[in-house]
Amino acid sequence: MDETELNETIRRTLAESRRPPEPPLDEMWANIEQRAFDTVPVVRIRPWQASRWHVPAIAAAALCIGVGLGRYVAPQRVVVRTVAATSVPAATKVASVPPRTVPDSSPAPAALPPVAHTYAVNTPSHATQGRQPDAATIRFVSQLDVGARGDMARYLAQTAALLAALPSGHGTAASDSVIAVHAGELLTQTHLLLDSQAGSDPTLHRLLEDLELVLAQVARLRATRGGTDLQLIHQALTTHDVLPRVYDATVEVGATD
Amino acid sequence: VSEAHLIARVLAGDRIAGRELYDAHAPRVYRLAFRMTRDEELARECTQDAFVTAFAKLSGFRQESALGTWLHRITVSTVLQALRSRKRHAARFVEMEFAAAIPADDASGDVELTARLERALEELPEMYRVAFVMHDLEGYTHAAIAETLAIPEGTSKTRVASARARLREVLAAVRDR
Repeated sequence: MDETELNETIRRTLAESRRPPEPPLDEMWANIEQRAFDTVPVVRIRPWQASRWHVPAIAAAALCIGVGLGRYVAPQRVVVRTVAATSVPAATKVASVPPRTVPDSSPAPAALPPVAHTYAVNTPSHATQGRQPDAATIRFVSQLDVGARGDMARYLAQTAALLAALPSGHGTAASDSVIAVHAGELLTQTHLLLDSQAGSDPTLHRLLEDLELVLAQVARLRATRGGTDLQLIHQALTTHDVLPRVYDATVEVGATD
Repeated sequence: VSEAHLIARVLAGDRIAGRELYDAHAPRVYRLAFRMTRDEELARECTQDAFVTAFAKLSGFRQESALGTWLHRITVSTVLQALRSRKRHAARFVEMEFAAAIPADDASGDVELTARLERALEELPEMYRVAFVMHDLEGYTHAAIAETLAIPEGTSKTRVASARARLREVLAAVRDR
């Protein structure tokens, strides 16, 4: 067999192995259209407009949105376990909701079909151990400009809310889709932050890298997939203490104001 | 309707024009993304990210090259970034990545050949792999690759030839067993 024939065999084998399926054009366009044309212009806080309350206020608002998102995608039977109020880091207390259990008989939102599984907030394994903010990171964050700190705080709050709202079981197409789209947006922000000044702090960089990996998995969640994906995501979150580190970083970013 | 006209409409916020541009280019972009990733989900994400990036940067597109070339350049960049991210992922979240990816116990010759060639392709330096996939699997000309990757045409030829040489070694090793 000469070189040309060998090349052809290789080409044929790999072309077959990598034969593209039919592209889901409409589905992809829906995502692109939403991200490219429906985005609200970002209003950046100018340094001379910023006050010491802006960053925590943004973080609190974003956490509220996240909790709202979690409730929206939550099914009829929701058990929300909140971290004990006495030990939650200051920045997360802002948007903590009181522990509550929605009765099984409460009606589901009209837009969502009834769901038979339970969502639970991932209680961080050591969030109750009174962790202290990292002084080096606080020093680093305090050197960032106000706009960058605001972006970071908003990003952390939204990410914490999303991860906390992750379903523990298999979700509906609607809920998985909402979570996946939101995770995709946060993933893009993660990439931007990794390349930004904020990504040069070793602690924040490691956290952003871990979040990048977890968010990439969450963004790929599809209702048609098995529950294994979610289990693996939860396992990774636990193994790498991701959520407590997000809470810590939220505190550290907030502590600079 | 010319592409320049569609671009102008997209810049004015016309999403229908955006859809027309998308329809014209998405199949090729998706094919390239899939050929490079061999992963349906990742190819879809990369296609989406590439178009979102393209629309965001459209005002900076000077139309010195064809829109397709520019778009494919963004696609290659997006895919490589995603693959690097996935590599980091694989190294650190091994349990997540490989739990569902362990192949069935099938040791037929074709399967082994494909697996070895795939592995060899994945292990090629990025620059060789991209050129090989674009040229041999997706049928780009060396001129098109050169323009997309912003390299001389001769460099494209060299990279494809180097990739083929490495893959031929693997093929020969499998055949000799």
